[in-house]
Amino acid sequence: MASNNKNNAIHSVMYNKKYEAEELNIGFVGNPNSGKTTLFNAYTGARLKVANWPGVTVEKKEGAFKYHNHIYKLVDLPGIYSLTSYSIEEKVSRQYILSDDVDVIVDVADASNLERNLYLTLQLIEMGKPVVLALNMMDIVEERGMEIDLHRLPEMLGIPVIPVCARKKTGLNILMHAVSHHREVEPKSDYVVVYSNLIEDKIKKITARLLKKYPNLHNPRFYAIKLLEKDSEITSTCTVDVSDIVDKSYETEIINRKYDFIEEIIEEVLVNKQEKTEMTDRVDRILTHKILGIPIFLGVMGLVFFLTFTLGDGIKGILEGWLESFSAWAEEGLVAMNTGPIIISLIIDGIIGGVGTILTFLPNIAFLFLCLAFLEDSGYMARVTYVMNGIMNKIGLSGRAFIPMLLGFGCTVPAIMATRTLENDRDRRKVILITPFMSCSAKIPIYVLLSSLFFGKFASLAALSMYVIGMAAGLLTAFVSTKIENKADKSPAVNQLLIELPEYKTPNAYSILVYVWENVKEYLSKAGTTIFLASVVLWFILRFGTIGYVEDMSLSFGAAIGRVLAPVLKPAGLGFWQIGLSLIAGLAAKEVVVSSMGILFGIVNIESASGLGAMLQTLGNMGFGALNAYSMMIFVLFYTPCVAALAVIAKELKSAKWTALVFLFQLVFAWVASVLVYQIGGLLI
Amino acid sequence: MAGIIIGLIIAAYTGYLVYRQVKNVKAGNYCGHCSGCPTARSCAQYKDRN
Repeated sequence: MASNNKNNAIHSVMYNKKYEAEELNIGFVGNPNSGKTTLFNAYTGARLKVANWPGVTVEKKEGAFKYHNHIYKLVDLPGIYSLTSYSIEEKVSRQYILSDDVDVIVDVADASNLERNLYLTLQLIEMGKPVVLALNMMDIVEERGMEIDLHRLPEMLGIPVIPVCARKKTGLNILMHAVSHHREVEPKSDYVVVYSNLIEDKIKKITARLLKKYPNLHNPRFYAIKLLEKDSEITSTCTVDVSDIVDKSYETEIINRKYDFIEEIIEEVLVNKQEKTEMTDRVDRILTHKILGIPIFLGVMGLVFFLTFTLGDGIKGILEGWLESFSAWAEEGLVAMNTGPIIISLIIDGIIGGVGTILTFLPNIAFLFLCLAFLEDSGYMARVTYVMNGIMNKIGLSGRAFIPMLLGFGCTVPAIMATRTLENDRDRRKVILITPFMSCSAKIPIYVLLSSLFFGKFASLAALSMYVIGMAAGLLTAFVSTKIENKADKSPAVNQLLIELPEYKTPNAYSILVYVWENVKEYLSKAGTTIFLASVVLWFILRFGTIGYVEDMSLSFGAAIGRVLAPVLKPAGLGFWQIGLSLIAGLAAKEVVVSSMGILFGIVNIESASGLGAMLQTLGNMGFGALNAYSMMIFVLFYTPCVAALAVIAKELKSAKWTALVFLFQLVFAWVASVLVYQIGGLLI
Repeated sequence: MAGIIIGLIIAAYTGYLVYRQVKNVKAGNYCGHCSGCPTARSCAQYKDRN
């Protein structure tokens, strides 16, 4: 509140002076999944991630475009349902809207869900800034045979209402036209929502007190309402004593009055009201069923990973053939050029052996992201959060916490970032701790390699079990930590889920292709950078020892490092210096575990039939069998994530102590789990 | 001779990767996993790559 004097001076300029500036700052605000990012992308040409599930945007994103001699600076804000200050997104959005940085707010509403979207609209109008309502998804409204009275709606709300369709890019010019005009409009003196006499009387009294202290306050009514709601942020920053007026929280009365007004609006403007398509309802009855919901989800994910492991094989065979030919051709060429044996070894064993091995897994990665993109775009992912809410509540988390866990199947880094949508730090810490247990795409090569080496026709099953075990371990860890917390704190936080279940949509082929391509591009880029670097370093420490260049890798620096770790890993059946070294190398990126095995065992094309045979024989000679392989898969599943993920964890936790705890916990958990698997497995087999 | 040139190219590229990694870490960006990342747009590494 203290900075509002400055705000007010700027507001008065905004409303009283004709604009001569060429620049206009527009904030896109709206409910989750109302299409803000799609609209933002349509204007700016950006390719920000969009998905048919809420919570994709967790921080504000900026872009600009030129239209009619004006520069329009757009800010895409995280989706919010209201302007309370319970979650980070709400805080980010509200702070931005209240700041001087925004000239006009574009409230992006899903027209097919008008009733729900209008609550935020009313709050935005109450804030006293110029608001234009963009009615998005008008195509769905038409499809359902619904009609919206576009004459009466702006009359009732007192703001311009523009129908648009962000996906089809219709109505975009008229929306900006309205924005451009509306910024100069004087704010209305009458109120859109009029509360009961008691509340209006209190608002009047608080407003008078606020204006006495802050004479230039532009929107005292908004602050008065927030004080009556006992909004924590406004109450803590307000220096005006209103305790004699605010005798209790009037939040419920204020909310109810807004919903009454929304009902009046809907009654008047919506013709042929139909909440959801019959198809969505019918499918939801099965997919979100109380008992069937979870088995269906497990089945869907099982299918996704089964397809990931099996469908890519055909294309993988072709890539393996190319890699083998390329390796032979490169070796011949290097020999023909009289290249020295050290350089030949660096290129063939180090670079081609390391990077090439990883490239052959590209089809598996592409299929995984194709499946995930399909599920996201169809609207199923939001249902999963809803279905898992019961279980998540039982372990002391909101169903919302399952979103980062799902993202973790792709990559841990964005999954950790997505924990920002969680309401409190305690939940965030817990989810950050368990998210790396979800098998990220980088672990796929390890599962594929070890399971195809040792488990024959059960290879897919062995790989699939990693996903189930990872998820179960994550949930169990959260449960135990909640139990410990609850012992210490008798009033644990209440976790509630507020999530929109979007319409099922036929996935958009373009969005899916962009999503898959972005991930494939990233995988290729990783192979050419991180994995290249790791392969060269690994080759170096495996080819050089205290006596210089060594042919026998057991005399190398790498072997010495691996031998330090081997005794610790022995109870887990992983007491081999090669395994120890490859696990250390895996800290750079998990794929490096596989590429390092290629280098360690001198196999260029580890996934080819000949490569697999050679590898199996070498490992067999070492005494490394199926049980050791499964124990290694378990260790890889749980142990410390890659350096990038660890750095992001440190960045998000903002605490060296917590980061160290996460690091140690995962390491110890991995060791204990793999020791249990190996020892118990040894008794059974 | 060819071996020396190839070795130098590999060394130069490796050096460049190390330099870039150090630069990114100094700028507070530790990863290159941009697709699907909700904070990619504000990350210097993402801007570097695009």
